[in-house]
Amino acid sequence: MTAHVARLVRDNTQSFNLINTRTVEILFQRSPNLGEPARGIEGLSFQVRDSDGSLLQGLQRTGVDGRARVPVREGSALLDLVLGESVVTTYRITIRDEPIEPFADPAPAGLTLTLDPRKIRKGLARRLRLLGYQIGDGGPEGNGVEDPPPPAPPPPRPASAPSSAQRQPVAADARGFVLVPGPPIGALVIDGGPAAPISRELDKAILDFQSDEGFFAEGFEDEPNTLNRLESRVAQLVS
Amino acid sequence: MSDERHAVRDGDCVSNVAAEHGMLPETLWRHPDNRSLREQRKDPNVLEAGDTLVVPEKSLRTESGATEQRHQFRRLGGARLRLRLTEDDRPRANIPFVLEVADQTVEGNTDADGFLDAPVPPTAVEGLLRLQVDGREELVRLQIGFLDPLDSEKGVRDRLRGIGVDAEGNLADALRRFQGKVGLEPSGKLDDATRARLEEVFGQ
Repeated sequence: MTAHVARLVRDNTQSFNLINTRTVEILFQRSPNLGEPARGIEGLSFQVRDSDGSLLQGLQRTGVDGRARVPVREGSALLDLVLGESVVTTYRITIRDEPIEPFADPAPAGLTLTLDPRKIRKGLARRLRLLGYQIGDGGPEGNGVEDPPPPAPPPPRPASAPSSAQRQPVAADARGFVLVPGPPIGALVIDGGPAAPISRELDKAILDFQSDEGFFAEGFEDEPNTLNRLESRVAQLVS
Repeated sequence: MSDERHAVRDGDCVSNVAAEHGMLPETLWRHPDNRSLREQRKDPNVLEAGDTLVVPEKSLRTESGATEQRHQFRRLGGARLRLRLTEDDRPRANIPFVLEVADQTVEGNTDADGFLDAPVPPTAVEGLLRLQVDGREELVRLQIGFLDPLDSEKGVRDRLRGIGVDAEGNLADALRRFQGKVGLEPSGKLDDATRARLEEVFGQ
């Protein structure tokens, strides 16, 4: 976008107009679990345009770690990946001035039970995505960071009808305890209530991350060691 | 002839209107019939479309000089750009630049605080600034004279953008981001403190 600046009378030496450029570093990496120690994609050609499409920075190449330094003015920019002379992919880069969702508030004490599970889910998903794990393209932002609505309350039970639990098939284990129907497989139970089902991609990303980090890949999204390691990996990435 | 009324358009300020009418900016700005505009805008460099400038009739000025000699007259007036370039709020110090405005090219380096100061033709409206940053060229397209006063919404958005705040959507959200950035209460309201900080940080 074009910067609107003042035309100063010649003897004005006090006023000035600020043009602040913010730099975003983006890492292009191969997916994990491909058996390659170096994940950075070196030598990708890219150019940067202002949000109105005008060229801001001509052709550059990513560094050995896949790093692209992207100048952003006025909050957003377009990053074009260029193959030959053709733009093959365009990413819109928008700076979020709000911090990404914390794991916990305060972090990381009281991590598992006192938080809104959706908040944990978003923070987890964003960090996995930052690290290059594939979490799909679902959700309102189209980037896999889903923020599903809370589960709908159960419908009111008619006074004379049997309860939904009674109408559903139940099973008994060998010791005779009755298993009450619970949330669907893959759902998370935190703070006494079920969260929305986790997406297949996010579930796999958690497993991949745990596997990459040498943890037991059990897939629980609120496992403290996993979350702490995730936090430290992101911190290493942005340091 | 009598005084003329000039309806200010986007891109107008006292410098270009004065140049177009063959007079000094001070002459135009200090004209008694521009007093109310002067009191409203305070700054001759930032006018808003719809403002009215009264352009006085040109007066004849006589200079005497000896014959058989050369006399040199220097034309006054003109205009300048004064920009401060920063990256992530830190000065872009001593970086080479090329400023292309109209058919004029100015080359130089920013100073230690990231300031760039260059003369420009008073009627220029567009410019291209080429910056050399760590071996990379960055381009900044300029619309000169298009900065609006701070009491207009566009003027507020112009300044927020210059500071690097996304000001495309809801203005209150953008103000909250700015307020959070500079340590003000993030109310989303354009109060006096916010206005003053905007002016201070942006520089005008």
